[in-house]
Amino acid sequence: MKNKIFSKKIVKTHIQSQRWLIPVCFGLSCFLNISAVILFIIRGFDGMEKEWVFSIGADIFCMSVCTMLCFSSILNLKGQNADTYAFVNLITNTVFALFLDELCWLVQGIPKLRVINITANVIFYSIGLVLIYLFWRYIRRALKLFDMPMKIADLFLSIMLIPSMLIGTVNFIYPLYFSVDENGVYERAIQWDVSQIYLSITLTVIVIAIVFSTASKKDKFVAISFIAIPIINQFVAINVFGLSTQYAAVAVSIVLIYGVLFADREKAMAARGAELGLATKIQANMLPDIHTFMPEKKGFDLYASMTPAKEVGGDFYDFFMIDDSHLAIVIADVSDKGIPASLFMMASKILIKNTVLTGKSPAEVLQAVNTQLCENNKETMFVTVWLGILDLDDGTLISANGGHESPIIKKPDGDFELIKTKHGFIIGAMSGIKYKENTLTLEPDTKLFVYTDGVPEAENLHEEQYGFDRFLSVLNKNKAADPKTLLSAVSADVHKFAQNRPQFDDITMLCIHYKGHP
Amino acid sequence: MSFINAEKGIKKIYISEIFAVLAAIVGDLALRLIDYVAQIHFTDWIVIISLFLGVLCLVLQILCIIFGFIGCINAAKDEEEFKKAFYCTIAAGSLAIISIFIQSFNNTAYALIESSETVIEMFVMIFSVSGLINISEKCECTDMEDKGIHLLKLLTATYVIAAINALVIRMFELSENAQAVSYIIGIVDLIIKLVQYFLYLGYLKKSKAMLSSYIGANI
Repeated sequence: MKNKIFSKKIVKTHIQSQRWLIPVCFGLSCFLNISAVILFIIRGFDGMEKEWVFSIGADIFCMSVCTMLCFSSILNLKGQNADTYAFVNLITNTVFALFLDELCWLVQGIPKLRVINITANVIFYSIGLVLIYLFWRYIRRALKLFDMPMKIADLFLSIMLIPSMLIGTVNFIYPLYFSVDENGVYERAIQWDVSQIYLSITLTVIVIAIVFSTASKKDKFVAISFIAIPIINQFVAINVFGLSTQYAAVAVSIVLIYGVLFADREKAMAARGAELGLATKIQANMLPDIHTFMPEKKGFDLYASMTPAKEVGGDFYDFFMIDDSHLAIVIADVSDKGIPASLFMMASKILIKNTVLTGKSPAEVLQAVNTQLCENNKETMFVTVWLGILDLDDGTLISANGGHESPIIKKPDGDFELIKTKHGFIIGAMSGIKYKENTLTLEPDTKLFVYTDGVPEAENLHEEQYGFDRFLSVLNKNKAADPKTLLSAVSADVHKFAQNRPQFDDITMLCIHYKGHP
Repeated sequence: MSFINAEKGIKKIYISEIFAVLAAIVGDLALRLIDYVAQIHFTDWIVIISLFLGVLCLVLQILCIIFGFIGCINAAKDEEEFKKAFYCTIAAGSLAIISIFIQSFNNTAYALIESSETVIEMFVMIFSVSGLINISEKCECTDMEDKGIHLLKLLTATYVIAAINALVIRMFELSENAQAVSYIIGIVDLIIKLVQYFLYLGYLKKSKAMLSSYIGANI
């Protein structure tokens, strides 16, 4: 559509802009995983207590599990959404926390590495705060907690995170949470509980949010388990120096979340996929079948194709005989894509055909359809339409254009050219619009090509548009070909130009080769 | 919807908050002053006054809790958020009782329970104000809605300061200046509490007036 007010824009979603996150997180997780193993091998077992070895083993094992979860998110490219990115963020921070926990035990009791011991422990305490905050953000998104109290709670927790982390840095100069003596041995300080206050506050907020949410009991149970499992672990292990398995317990909870919440989502997506598959078939069946379209009189050759960007599309074409001598050709493009556009498309198609069959002229048809579509159009959807009625006896083509792309014509012994016809307003946006007609006389051996803007506006990876120059060029290279071959050539050229960039708009084309009076 | 129950409930909550303010003044301010005076010049009268103030503070807090409960139960009949405030009040009360027993056994657990209790008390206020905002929206009083949202942000700021104060007190607990820091932070805490109460009381009073005029106009 070239109407400036309603021109389609490419929408770069926040989700598309975060596509880099998962590979980066996976790379980081792998790096930390491998580093953890190498560092453990270098350190060896000398001077290590069995509890420390157990904690390190649990950390490395859980890091591997988290890295695998990250990898599975890469494999499931189609299912990626904002929840996926939040989840991967959570996993990566858990991997980092596990790595730091392992590092703290590896440097334990080594005087030369006292500074690393202190630094690792300070960061370890900070990452714990970040992790619980990220979990709160994840739960808020997963349970859709966006009402005012939860917004206020989020504000409170995000502000409190800063002073809590800053207070943690005091440990560099003063043993507030812990101390590391000259022999490199870590010991909890009397005020260690200060480090747990932010955790306690956030856990309380999370429990309140979960209890008062409208999520299912299963989702609430999974969310509560994330905090219950580490808390139970903490009670069990708190008095055993060296048994530092709280982040391993966090990793167990993450696996539980992944298994339940993600599995549920996969089921829902599979069910939706099945419904969409059925919708695609229904929509395809609604379009006229070229192979079975055999009017008594011929005198023309026709081919059409519609390639939706999603499972269902908003473009459509139609062709049918009004009577023995008149062929109606329609091509249209509904605003938006996907299911809403496909529903509007089906309504528009039925309206246009029924109105044409009453004997109205193309302009009258567009006017009548516009009036009907404007009624109860609360979603303010609209459609661009090109409608032509061809008299097969004398080649007179009367057409009307409702905001659609200009058709392309190849006269006998000529080239394909864009013909500038009068554009009317789009259909369904404003009632009371009048449309004008264009009259052309097609000589025998004339080809008419109509299309939707998905063709000229197709983009490649460098965000260049296919454009009319390339479009006309490929048509003219194949100007002697039949309609089916022409459409295939254009389709292949667009696909080659796009360089595997995902199709973002529906692509619909129709070509008629008028051969003269039948 | 007439909101008669909400009006009754908010009146009770208003009275409950007045008792809370008085309890804060008696329990925090007056007892601190008595403690300070006792250090300078101790007499038997100070013991009697301290006992009296302690009992008065307890009575005020009990009255605050009772009126708060009744207020939330009444208001909850017209607005769901007050039900959440009611459950949170019960949870805060339970934690307060648990913390009294835990205090002498485990300082860490006491500190954590106390911080959780503060958060739950914050939610009592948040849910109550949120409920009032919802009622204002239903009464088509956008002015009160906006005031409610601003109040929530202000209350959040006061709770953030109170939480940071709690962290600072714990940080300086073992230092030489612990007592001085504790006094200063305690006064700041009291001022913050009074600010919270007066802001909340002001909004409750306006909400009462709004509901009275709404009910009057719709009878």
